[in-house]
Amino acid sequence: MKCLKNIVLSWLAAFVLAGCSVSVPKDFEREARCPNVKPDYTATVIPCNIAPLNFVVQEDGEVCVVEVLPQKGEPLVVGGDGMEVRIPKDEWRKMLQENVGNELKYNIYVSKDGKWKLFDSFVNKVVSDSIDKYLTYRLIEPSYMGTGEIGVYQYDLEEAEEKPIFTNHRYRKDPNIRSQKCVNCHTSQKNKPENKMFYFRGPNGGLLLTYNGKTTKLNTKAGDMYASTVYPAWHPSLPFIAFSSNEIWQAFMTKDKCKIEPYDAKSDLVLYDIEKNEITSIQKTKGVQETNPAWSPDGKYLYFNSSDSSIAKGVYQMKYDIKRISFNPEDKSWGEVEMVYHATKQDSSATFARVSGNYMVFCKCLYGTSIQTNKSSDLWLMNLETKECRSLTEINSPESESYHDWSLNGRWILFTSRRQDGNYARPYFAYFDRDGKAYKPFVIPHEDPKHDDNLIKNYNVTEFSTSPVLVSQSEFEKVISEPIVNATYGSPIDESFDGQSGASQLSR
Amino acid sequence: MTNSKDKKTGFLQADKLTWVLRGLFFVFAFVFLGVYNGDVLYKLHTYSFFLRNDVFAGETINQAGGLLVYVSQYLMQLFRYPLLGALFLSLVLSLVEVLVTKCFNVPERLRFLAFVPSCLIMLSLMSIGYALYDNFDSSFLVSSAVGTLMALAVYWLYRRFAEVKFSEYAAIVLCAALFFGFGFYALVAMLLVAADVFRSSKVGRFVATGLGVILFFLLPYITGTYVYNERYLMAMFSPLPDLYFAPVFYPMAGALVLLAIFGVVNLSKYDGSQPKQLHVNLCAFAALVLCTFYFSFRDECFRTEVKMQRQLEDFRWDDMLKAANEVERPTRGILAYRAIALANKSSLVSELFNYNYNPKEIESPYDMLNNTVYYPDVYFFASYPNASLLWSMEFWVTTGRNYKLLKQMALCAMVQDESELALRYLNLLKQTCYNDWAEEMEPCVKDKQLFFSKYPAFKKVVDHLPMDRVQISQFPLPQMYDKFSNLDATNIERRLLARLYEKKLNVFVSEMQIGAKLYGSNIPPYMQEALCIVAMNGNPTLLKNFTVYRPIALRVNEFFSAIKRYRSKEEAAAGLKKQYGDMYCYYFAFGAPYPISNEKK
Repeated sequence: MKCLKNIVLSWLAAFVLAGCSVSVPKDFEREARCPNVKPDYTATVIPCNIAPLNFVVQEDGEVCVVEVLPQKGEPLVVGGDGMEVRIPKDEWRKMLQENVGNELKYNIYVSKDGKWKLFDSFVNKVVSDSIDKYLTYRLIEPSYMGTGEIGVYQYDLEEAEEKPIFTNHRYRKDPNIRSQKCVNCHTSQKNKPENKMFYFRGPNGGLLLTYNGKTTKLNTKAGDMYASTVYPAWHPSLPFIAFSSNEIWQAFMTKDKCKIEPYDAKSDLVLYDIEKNEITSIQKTKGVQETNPAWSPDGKYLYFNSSDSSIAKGVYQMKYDIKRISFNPEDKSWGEVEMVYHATKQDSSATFARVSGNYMVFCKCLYGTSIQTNKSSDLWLMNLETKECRSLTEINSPESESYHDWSLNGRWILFTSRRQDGNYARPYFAYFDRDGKAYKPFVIPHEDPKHDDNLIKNYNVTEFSTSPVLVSQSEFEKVISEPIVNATYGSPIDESFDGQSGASQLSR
Repeated sequence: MTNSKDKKTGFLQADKLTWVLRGLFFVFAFVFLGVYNGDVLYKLHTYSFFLRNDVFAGETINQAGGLLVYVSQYLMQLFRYPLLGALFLSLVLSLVEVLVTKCFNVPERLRFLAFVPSCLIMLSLMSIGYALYDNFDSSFLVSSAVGTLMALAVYWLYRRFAEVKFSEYAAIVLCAALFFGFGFYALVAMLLVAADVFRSSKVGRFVATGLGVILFFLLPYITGTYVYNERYLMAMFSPLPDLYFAPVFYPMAGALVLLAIFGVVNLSKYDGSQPKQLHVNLCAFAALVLCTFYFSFRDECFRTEVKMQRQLEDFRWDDMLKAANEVERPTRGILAYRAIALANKSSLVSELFNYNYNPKEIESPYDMLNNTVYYPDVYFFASYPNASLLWSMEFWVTTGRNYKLLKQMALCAMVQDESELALRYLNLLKQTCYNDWAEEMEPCVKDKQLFFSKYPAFKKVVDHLPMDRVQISQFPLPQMYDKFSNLDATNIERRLLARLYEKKLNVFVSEMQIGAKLYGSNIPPYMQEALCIVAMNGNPTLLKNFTVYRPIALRVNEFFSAIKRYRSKEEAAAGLKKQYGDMYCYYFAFGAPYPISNEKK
């Protein structure tokens, strides 16, 4: 009985203590340096609609207290329970809304052996340009041959909540249906974000296309295509998706942090007309590889990578330029191919062009298109009016930067980077102002600031979206169990091409 | 009718008998699990995973029977010390027997029957074997015993309060609630309650029984469709393994079916005074124990392989070699682990072919990635950490997350100076029962001297890292040495051995030009023998270029003369093994080359 009483009393004490508000220490010594916080959210620019930037104070101490001082409104004091800082969502949201255009100043106090230290403060600037509410990505191990547990997810950047769009976990768990099932390349139409697509590869798989509220499973390998469609690009407003069709191989390397090198043995471009269910060829030049299509925001140009190097010379000799081709939606006709960035002239490779307004961001690396694994991959910026081009040094790191995307308002650049340890990619966001300057990026915020430390998967094929995926996994599964719809082929057939699947293969 | 004295004696006798049987069962379970199968228990532990964080808890609990899986994964940490794990399992299985006796009033003359479910569970656990490499959830080791115990405990609780009004509804609701955490075991409890109610004379018994039966079939549909997105049968039977794992599934299902039968049949009506009940029970019990042992998975190669893997963790090279030598016909895994041990004892070149190099192909119904589970180890100790990491990740996603692979990934990062990556893995390991290992390794991440002084075996790995960044092909190891090794002394030697492995003696001879400089007049005996074989096969002048000692040449000659005396290859292999089994010639004539499956193709 006495024991029970003690337990109740200690629970009550804990409850009362937990209910007490955290206060800023009065007695402290000053430490003349910025504190180490992980993730590094110091001195950055943040959107007015982002979820709380929770972090861990990595200093020698037992407890920390963080005082967030806005220019307008009441300060926010959090902490008091270990070294983790979790900011309440409601108060954070209110503070951001009241302080658009202002700065938030962070004072961090750390206690060790009962003595408090105050570190130099750091600031974040809140801008009125909001970030797209959703981020979609795939989670996958950084090195793989067979397909493990893979899923495509959407992340609410305002609420810091992850929801699966589709995962293969159920298939992996069930030994009776454990064949290779890959999930990849989720993308949506910029101006009609409710239209979305992704691939479910393997037996009974196909392209799962949600268009005007209806989901269909498609076979997009048609005519003389040697592989199924791979990298997609929705036309911003019309019912067209440009695809590359690639024969992808993977090479695993004996040493170095860059352990895997995916490369294309062949690649071409095709256009899928959703309403006519018809595929037509865009670029199919023998000896030349075209891949990674991307539309200009007005839908008048299709950007892509092009290489005339042969894989026979080796992975490191595969170099790509960025080109574009004009498009006439009236008759689906294509104009002349124009060089946009002549990387091969500089003995390098440029890939993954993404255009917003007058600016194009692309990856520049020493070779190939495997930007997510290639340490030399950096983000570059081109002013399409002036043709001025520069490395985005404000953003880049010694590790790989890849899979970038623009927010709908063109003020935020999303990209993934392996800067944390060279192997695991994480999504970062950087503000891009009207003068073409980018600011220090910050990593995806989570309610649990240690979330990404514990995650040993890569964020892959990241993309912004302004609307959520409304189709559930079970609805997708129902569509998967239905017969596949074969796309028709509207271009002349070249009999000399061989058929292959669209999934990547192991290098011999 | 027996008189009161007889009754008292019978009771005491039965009581003694029960305790004797219980004692014997406990000892058998402990010895069978902890001593005889200690290495297997350890292996099952290394193939389990438990992380102390919310994300892991969330994703584990969020499946049918998830809470039981989570608790079981937690308890699997005990099996790092197999005797402790065996003690725990023996206790739980003994408790299962006690509850079976109590719940179903197992009569004295059939007391051995109460041990049948526990023995079947034990048989199921020790039938896992190679299923382990096929994405099998090894926490079944605990969930099976604990789940059964839980089902019996709920049923026993119900029987204690069976007279209380509406107790049957309370029990059914409790089982329904438990289903979300304990899966099928809660349904078993529900079925037992429903059967008991049906046999009773309670008012409204048909309604309660009907409710129990309906919920039995309905709950898995609800959870499978709306909560966990699982197939109906998976949602119903989880956390039991799928029928695909038949040797594990059937004994476990048998145990649960038997409980259901006990629930329906009134066992107490078979009670009565039998003069030889002690002998009957003891004999039946002995048969039960023997059957459990006999029908369990006792494959010699599997047991040796898991033993060698455990010895490898402690760098017990001599024990590994001893274990390998005790096997009649080794698998490729055993060959690989033996090669690791020889390399670390610097006796690879002198001992490699002194063995039965005719690997046995594993016959298993399970998908084990072409029996390549030893690749992470063999590539690591062959100084190809990237290949080891690649295979570790491959198994991580295909056979499931486990401590062994996470430790391997951390080591791969450490030997390649990828400190941030190593710290990421060690940070995860700190949230597991390998916290001590991670803390011991952490200072070594940035202090190579400390790392090498503590673990000399890892220094050897680092000393022979590949010089070039070239493509790892998906070939077995001999081809790796051929294509990518840097030509320092050790790697030349490994490359020459790889040639001997593959029986490509012409290439071996051409590469021996480099080897001759390395060895001078001390060419290892196997290589001398190989040179003799080439010379005997039409290149007699070859021996002028190398120092080959006469006794070796004579022995080779003698060996090939001796072969001719036999009618078949099998007879020759058996007859010559004792006298010539330590020669390269013996391997050349009778041993299988390493990539046996490719050769077949």
